[in-house]
Amino acid sequence: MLKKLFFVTALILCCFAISIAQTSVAGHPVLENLSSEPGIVEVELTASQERLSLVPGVETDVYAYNGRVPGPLLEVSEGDSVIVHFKNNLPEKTTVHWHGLHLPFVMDGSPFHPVGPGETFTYAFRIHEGTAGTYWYHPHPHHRTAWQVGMGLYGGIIIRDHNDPLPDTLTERLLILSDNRFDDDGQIEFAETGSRQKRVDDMNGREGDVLFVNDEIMPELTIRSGEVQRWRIVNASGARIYRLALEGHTFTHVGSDGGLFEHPVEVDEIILSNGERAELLVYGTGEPGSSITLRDLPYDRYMPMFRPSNWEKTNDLLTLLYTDEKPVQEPFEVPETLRKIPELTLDDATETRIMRMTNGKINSRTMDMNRVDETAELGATEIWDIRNLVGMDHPFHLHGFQFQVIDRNGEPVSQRKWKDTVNVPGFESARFIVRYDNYPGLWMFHCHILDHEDQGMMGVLEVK
Amino acid sequence: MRIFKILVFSSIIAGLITVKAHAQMHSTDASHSDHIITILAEDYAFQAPDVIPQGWTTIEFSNEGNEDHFLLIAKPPEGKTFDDYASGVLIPFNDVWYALRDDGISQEDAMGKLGADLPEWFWAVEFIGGTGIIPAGATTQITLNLEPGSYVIECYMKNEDGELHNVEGMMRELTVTESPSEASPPNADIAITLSNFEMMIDGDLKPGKHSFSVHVAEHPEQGFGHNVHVARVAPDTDVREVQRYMNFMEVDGLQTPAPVQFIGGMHIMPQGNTGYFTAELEPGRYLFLSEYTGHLGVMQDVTIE
Repeated sequence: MLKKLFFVTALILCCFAISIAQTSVAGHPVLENLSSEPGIVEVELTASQERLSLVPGVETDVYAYNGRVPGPLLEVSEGDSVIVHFKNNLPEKTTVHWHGLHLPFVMDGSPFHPVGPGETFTYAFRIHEGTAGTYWYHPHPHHRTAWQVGMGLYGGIIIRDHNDPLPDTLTERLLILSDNRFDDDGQIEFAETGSRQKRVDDMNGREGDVLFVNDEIMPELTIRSGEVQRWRIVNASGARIYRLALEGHTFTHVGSDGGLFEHPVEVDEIILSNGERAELLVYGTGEPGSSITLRDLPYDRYMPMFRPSNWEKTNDLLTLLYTDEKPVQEPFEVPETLRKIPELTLDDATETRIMRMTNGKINSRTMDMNRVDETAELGATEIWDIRNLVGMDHPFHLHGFQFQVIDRNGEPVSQRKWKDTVNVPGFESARFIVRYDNYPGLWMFHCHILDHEDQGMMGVLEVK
Repeated sequence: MRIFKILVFSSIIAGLITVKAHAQMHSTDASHSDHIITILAEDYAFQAPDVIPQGWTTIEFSNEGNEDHFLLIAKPPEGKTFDDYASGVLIPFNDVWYALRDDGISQEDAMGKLGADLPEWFWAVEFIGGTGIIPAGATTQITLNLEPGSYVIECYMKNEDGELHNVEGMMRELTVTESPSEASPPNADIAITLSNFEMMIDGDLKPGKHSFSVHVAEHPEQGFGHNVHVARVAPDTDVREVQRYMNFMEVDGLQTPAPVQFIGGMHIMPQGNTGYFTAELEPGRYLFLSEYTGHLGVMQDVTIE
């Protein structure tokens, strides 16, 4: 009898442990799937005002998804049908934009479909094959995106491939990078209208001096010597562009916005602009017991007259601690080919759209919700020529459709990859090719410096 | 002396922000006999080539924005870069502009503040010419003899929010290489000579398209530079109001919308230089007005019959 009781207790504890493990993926709590049907992911997501401790020892008024900053992870697989029961408990309208996902227009969470205070909306969409990767969700109400993201509304998405070429034995981490600014009372600070700081924020985008990795400042992560980890990184900052480097280590860059590359690339550092994602393999080449730092190196994205005085400062993001365990003896080797990405060919392109980006405007216009700026046919393949006419970076984001960058400043890019955001440094240009598959509608394109987006550096592409 | 120069150059620099231009661009390793480039202005950037050959250069300048714009070409002294110019010169001008606009300081105090805040090397910046103001949708041509070097192009008009176009982004680097050009200056049918307290216009000012030469015979002793903006005005327009509008330090000076219709001209050049611009005249009254010295007599009020 005692034996039987012990067995049952052990079983329950085991199940509980499994349950706990299942609620955390890549270091993040996961939105609970309410559906027991295979292929259906049904979750509840609520945006609300909360009071959380973002900075140790201080409680801060925030906006949060399901009471957390960042919001919980949405974990799905290719082929899944996703149902998100969204409730807006904020005192203002909002949306949930599923950044990078290919889905119907009404589900995109763009400014065209605001959800009012106290209202609900059910987002329902299917996860397409070939889209496995790292994405994120955030609000997108017209003129209020920078505010709402700055207040804490953002969360990660992982789409899994049932035939992922990378083994699931690799330790996986999702690092959502953000920054924020706080006043003396520990409250999130936004510049006052008419102030000098507001002018700087309008031009540069609002940067914060406190840098977060997920919900922590300078977290400590662990790695075993000889181990290989898979890091998924999201730039959820409203304006800060990260130049990431791990001291004494290289990265193997295996993926970006729309999932894995065709071939891995060895890099010393990566630049991640607003809204972009990266997938990296981190090799534990250090000695047991040692530690290294993930750093944000100086990156000059600014107009010379608005460049912050401390822009050359290196920021530490996290510490990677080597465990005392003896090194892993069988190192993982990344496949030379990760997957085949279908090529969008120039010969199929029927139009070239030129986007001239100036500060706050695209093609000399600011966003008008009642105006369609570009019109294209469903199924058409087109080239977009993004020209940055001013002296600061502008990351360009297209909703609804992943694209392939074909060249920068006339120079072909090294390999094919799926992107939804392309950073265009000052006075430079980039061209990408895109095909408008499946979904007609009014699709936003904009600078993903959120302050610029809110100022109207955004337009509408109608696909019909 | 310095104060006067500050006033002159304040407008110039205030225009430091550039627009990005995209233009036809000659290769830099060959000579050219038809050296023409295109620079497009929009709100608030230039599309322009990055590198052009030296020599006589015709710039076709089109305003594709919704506001008035001009083009000013500045040459920072040796060793100073576009970045130095943008950060070292534009910031003091913008700060002074904000002090004028928001704090209501006097123009005299503004000039004093500029003198204190500008870097010493600013006084060695050369202004090589550029277009006069043109409205949205208009195009003008200027021809200048450009020497090899690194230049800054900019527009320092103000938008409806009172922000300087150059601060908003209308500022860009232009590199002139030692690659030769065999292009020649155009033949002008109207000659304008700028000297202290006087603007001379020689030629038959009649309706139609004209090629104007502009020669800077002398700079004012106290350091003012001369330029020419051509504006079509109503018969009852008060010239003093236009002069006041041309003063960058006035709160609504050089701000959109302009009170008159500008049709181009030639921006500040070094003493002794000659540049060219084209303009089409219709019957009516025109002001040929120097931005900084018009109120000192460097202007002409003409009626085209």
